[in-house]
Amino acid sequence: MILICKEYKEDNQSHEDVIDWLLYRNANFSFLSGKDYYQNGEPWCIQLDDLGQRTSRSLKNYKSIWFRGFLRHRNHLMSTFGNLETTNDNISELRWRIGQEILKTNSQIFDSFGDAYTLPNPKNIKIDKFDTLRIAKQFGIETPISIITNSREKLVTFISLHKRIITKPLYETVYFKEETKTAFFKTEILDLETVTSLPETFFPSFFQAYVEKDIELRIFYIEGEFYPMAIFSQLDPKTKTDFRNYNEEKPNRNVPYILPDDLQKKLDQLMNKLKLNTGSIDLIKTPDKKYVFLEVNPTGQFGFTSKPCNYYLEDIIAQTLIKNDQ
Amino acid sequence: MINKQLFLDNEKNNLPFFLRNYKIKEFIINGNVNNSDCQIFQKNTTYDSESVKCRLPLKPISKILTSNEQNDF
Amino acid sequence: MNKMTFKLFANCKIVIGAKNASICDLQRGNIYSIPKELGAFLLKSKNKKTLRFIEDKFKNDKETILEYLAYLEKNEIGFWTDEPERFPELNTEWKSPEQINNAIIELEKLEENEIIKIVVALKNLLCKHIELRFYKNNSLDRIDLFMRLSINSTIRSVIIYIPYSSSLILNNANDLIVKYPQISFIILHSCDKIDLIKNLNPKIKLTSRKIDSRHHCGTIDPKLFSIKLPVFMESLKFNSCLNKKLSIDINGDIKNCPSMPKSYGNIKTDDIETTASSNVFKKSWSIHKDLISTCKDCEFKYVCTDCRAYLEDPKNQLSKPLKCGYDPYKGVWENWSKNPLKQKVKEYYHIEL
Repeated sequence: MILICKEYKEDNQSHEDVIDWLLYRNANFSFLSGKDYYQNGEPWCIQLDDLGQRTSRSLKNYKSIWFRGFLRHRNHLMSTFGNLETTNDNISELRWRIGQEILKTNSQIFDSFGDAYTLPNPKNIKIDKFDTLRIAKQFGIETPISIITNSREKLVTFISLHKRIITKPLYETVYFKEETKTAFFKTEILDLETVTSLPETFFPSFFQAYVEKDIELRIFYIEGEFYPMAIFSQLDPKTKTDFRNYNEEKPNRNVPYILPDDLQKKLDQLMNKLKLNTGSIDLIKTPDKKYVFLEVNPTGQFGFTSKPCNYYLEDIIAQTLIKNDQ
Repeated sequence: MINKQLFLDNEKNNLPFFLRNYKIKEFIINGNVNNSDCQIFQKNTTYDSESVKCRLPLKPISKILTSNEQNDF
Repeated sequence: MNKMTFKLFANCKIVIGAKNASICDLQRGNIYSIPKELGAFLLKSKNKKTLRFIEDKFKNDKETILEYLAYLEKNEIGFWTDEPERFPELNTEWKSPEQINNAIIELEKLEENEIIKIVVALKNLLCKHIELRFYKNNSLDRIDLFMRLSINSTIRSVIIYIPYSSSLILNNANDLIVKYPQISFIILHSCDKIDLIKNLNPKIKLTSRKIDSRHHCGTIDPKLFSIKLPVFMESLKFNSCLNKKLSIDINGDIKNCPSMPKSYGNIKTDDIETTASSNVFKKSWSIHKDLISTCKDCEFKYVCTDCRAYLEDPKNQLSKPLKCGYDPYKGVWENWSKNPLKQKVKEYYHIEL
């Protein structure tokens, strides 16, 4: 049987599309979410003793697992934290520790997947961005020049060398909500004035030299196959720096693309090294025809690539899950 | 958050740099639309635990409505 | 400009008609009418070094062509590149994960047990979109039953046509919409006092038109063209109206469309799923535009969703839709219902408008 691991009650058309193909192809499947372990009150237990490690919730009938998420830390325990009356420091410490406990607990839950086929393996999805850049370089893939620094001086030198630089989180992006307002974070080119007004040292941050773009590439990778899409973000000033700054009225041109063979080989090596059998790869193609690797997202969205290019990735995913369900 | 400011603005030097580049979006609840945003969560065993959502077809199923009457399909 | 080849973006498809051509922008949902010669030029020059190609073959028209290319570039329909081979055409495959994609049910007189049969069949066929029709009388009970049974299915949208009887029906419609989120629209037709009624629900539409029979269907209107990638690809090989469509008419007859005469069985005596899966039922699904006379010469053939029920020549299954006023040989739109040549056919179908 196929197991679909994802958060419940999400509005995700891509997931529904894959499920439609599974239904059409008469696959047997079931759902699992962190909620089943943390929130719905059903008892379970993982035991480690002389007989080894086993779980009361046996998942051994599931031979093929599609992993798209498990538990939203943020929504979890919202009411609990709402009821606590203590210092900010205690709250943040408690939140962090609980987050870590959840990670460790999840790791043991995922252990009960056994040697089922996983797409991707949940143990491998928390990749490190900076590590990934280094590994890409090792395979001969070009990456933006990157620094992590806390020094204004070093940052100023970096800017004078590379003219335009951007900053990104090393981990994942975040958002903050207050009543009806939500704050999102976007990639922007650093303003020199801001930099020169910084103190001598500041919180260590991640900066990269801005890469000149001809087109951007979003590639869906699955089991050695590449499905590339070219994004013409440079035709629209709104999307020039960050194509995620979507222009709803006039979306960027998104069309299929064919990657050079040698680049594909290197990317395949990269994904193998990262132990990822699927993911969304972001690249920039520069005006002088260089391909610069930015990052890979193991559980990234694929509908964005599938629909404009008519790739039917949803069916490919469904068939991959079915094929490996033995 | 007051208008265009973020709660962490005062401490930005002590926080990672990327937190300076934000955009604040306001989601205004339309008082006019009474019930169409109401999502009834049902345990839908086909899609399991998805909220039941209306998704329009890509093309009109029939051609009864005139273009003036027709909504955007 | 050192980029040597002009190319259309893959999602801008050229369709050549008898007199004109069109560029269908499948991503942004626009359609551009262009001269046939430009369409032919773009097809011939694909992946070649454009300026050289113009010099060699179209020297006399150089200025005109360059003007057009500038227009296309400005509107982001095409772009200059020196690696045209890296930008392939779109894969034209079309497939969809259901045996039946949409269904039209004339629900007015169907019995409870028949409605149950229908919904069970629709669920098993993985049907996604439903149109329920009431022409002369309402039956909220039938609607409620149908919707209740549709929970836990792949049904994603339901549109309902109901005759307006009194202000009470507006309240009932509002209640249905709250209760069943899959209802996308309720159309209250035959509403005389339309100016006096205050409706705030965007999911309810009022019209004074008397949609009292199935004959109101079938109009080809350019404003209703579906300029979308999946529909376009479907049109290349299938009839984009009838493909994966199931209909149950007012008498329980199982048809491709309620307005078509052929019945493949009746729900009282036949199994719906078996009937809908049979080859004979699916035969009309493959009547794509390139098989239909006049339409095959039209530059709108792949964005128009056709009609096989009301035909210019009722005896010819492959004739042009009756309710289309476009002449692709002249490139002109007319009001089809005012055309005297179509009058006799209207009588044949008993269409009174």
